[in-house]
Amino acid sequence: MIRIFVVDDHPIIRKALRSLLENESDIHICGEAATAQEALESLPQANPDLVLVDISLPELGGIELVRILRIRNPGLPAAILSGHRDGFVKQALDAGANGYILKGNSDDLPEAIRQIVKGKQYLSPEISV
Amino acid sequence: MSGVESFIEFLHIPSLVLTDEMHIRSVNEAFCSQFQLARNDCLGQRFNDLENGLWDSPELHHLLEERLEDENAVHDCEIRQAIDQTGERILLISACRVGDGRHTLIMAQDITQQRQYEELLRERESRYRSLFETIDEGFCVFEVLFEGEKPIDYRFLETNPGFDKLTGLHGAVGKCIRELRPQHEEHWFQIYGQVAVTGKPLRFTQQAKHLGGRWYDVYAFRIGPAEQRQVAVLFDDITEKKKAQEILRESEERFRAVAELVPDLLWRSDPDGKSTWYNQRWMEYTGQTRVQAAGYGWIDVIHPDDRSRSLDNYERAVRTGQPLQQEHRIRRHDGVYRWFLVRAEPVRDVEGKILHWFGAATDVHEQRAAVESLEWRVEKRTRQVRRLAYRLTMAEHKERQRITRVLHDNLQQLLYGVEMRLRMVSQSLLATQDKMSGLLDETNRWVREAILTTRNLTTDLCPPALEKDELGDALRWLKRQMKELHGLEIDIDKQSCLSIQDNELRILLFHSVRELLFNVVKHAGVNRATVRLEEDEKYSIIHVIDDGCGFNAAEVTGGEEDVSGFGLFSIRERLRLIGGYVEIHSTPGYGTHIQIRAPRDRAVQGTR
Repeated sequence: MIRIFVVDDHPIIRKALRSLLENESDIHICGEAATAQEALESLPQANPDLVLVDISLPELGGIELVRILRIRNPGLPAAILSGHRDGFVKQALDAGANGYILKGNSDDLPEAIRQIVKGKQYLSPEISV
Repeated sequence: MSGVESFIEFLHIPSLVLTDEMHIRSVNEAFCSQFQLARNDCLGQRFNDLENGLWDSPELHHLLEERLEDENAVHDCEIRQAIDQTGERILLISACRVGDGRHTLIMAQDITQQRQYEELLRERESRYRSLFETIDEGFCVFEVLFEGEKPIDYRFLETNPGFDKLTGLHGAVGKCIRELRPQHEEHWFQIYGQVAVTGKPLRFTQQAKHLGGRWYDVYAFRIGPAEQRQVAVLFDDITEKKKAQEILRESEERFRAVAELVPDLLWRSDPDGKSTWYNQRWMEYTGQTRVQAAGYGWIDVIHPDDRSRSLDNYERAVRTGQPLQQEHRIRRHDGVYRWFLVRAEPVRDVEGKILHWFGAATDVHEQRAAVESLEWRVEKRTRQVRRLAYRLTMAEHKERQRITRVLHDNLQQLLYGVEMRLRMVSQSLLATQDKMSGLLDETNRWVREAILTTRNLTTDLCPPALEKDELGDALRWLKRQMKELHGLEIDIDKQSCLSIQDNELRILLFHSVRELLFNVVKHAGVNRATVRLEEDEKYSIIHVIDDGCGFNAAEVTGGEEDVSGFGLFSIRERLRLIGGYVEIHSTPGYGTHIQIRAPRDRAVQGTR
């Protein structure tokens, strides 16, 4: 079972992700947070296999959170969820993100999660670096 | 013979007595002295053999041996004898037989010097005569005639051709002026009588009404002994000059009359620039006296801030002879400075030589104030427009950001949620409700399209790359967008970078480049352009270059009308506000090269 921690300030997205991913037999949402601060506090207890981070978090942004996670939890994969097709991809990868997943096409999301957890890097097909 | 010998001793004329053998029997002191011979060396010598060789000439032989034989005596015969050492000598010889005709008395004078003087005098007289005959001036000598002590007439003794020409009197010599011109004015007699009596020369200018009303410049002086009362007169006809002076005087009077009427401050300067005259208005306005204003005194009433510039301009005009026009402030008598438009022109003679400078200062204080006020208002309004244009850029961007936020934070997130939910519903229904599943799939596609549209819109409105300092990144994003949306290929070096930390400046430059690239798409007729980034000490520079159809850059940069379509006016004004500018190089048919230059250390004018 793949344990996912979701960080997104939009409750709708958190709820939708939970519904969508828990429909997958091998994926489980082990925790969620609306802000980076919340996430950093909850992550030790949640013990996820992957953190999905929205790029546009209030105050401390998603890319910054990934950068902190790389220091605090070097072995914990993190993927950026973003509505921006370009402009931030290189930044996210440079910060240490294992994947850059574009919102809006959830068909690919479960597969993206599986690949990242296996240690591969995932970029949504529509994006460019 | 001793009587004759004694006699010649008393004579001052060099003399000697010869024997019939032409030997010197006696010689007087005057002879020895004049011809520098010792008496003892002479006595007994043959006359022709005297040491100085003066007496050995064929002429003298002829005189003493042949003429004296015939005539017994000869008087004042001039004998010329060339002497090697001293040149030609001239002797005046008189001789006669004495002592029963056996002896000859010779009186000999060396008149060489006398003849030379006479020759000199003749030459001099000839020269003076020639001068006298050829000079344009009139010259005459006359004798002033008196009745008692009163001079009543004068008789001409000598006249030159100039006299005839300048007086119209011909054959005047020997005649009195009263004969020639009975009405000749009395003052002429008074003046000449005074010169004749006192011997004091006089120079004067006088009109002779009965000599054709001519004016004469006259110099009269007495010549010869006082009792002869002869006066020489050298004179010139100055009638034309007098008329010209009169015309000039009248003109000057008219000028001064007009000069006092006009409201301008007027002055006149000599060719060296020193003021020699001011009109009364100058005196009244400045409160200066003529003495204070004379020369360069006018400088004292020029505003201290204008003084150096005005003096430099004035001196340059005087030096080059070029007319002067400038504006400066002149102090009024009450200490108030007012602006004047100053013009000065050189007045030249027929040969182009500057006679004097004439200048006029016109009070333009009110006009200048009005112009300054207008210029100030225009400048202020321009600044406002620029600020407005700048604010507009920022407002546009903020509005884009706001719309982006709305789209991204609300609508897009909703759509993402709906899309995920629809996918989940679709999966749930897959096994049982095929038709429903198809409808949901279609709805899901529409939602995805809506997501794509809003995503493109948010990116387009506010490019995420613009949030970073590096403008190159934003422009590379722009490159992709222009290619996708408009088919425009943009060459921009991958390494090309321009770090601009000022957020507003970065936004301005980005939108300016985008505007220029839109122009390439819309007007250039090509599908390729080049963007190059660079910096120098002062400016961040962006080049936008295309090989398209080009346009007349002068028309676009020269005016501000009808260029809004190109967006250049807007770009130029916005850049100008921050101390930058746009350089446009374009010619119809030869492409376009536009440089945007923004100061690295920008100083936005006005409030932001």
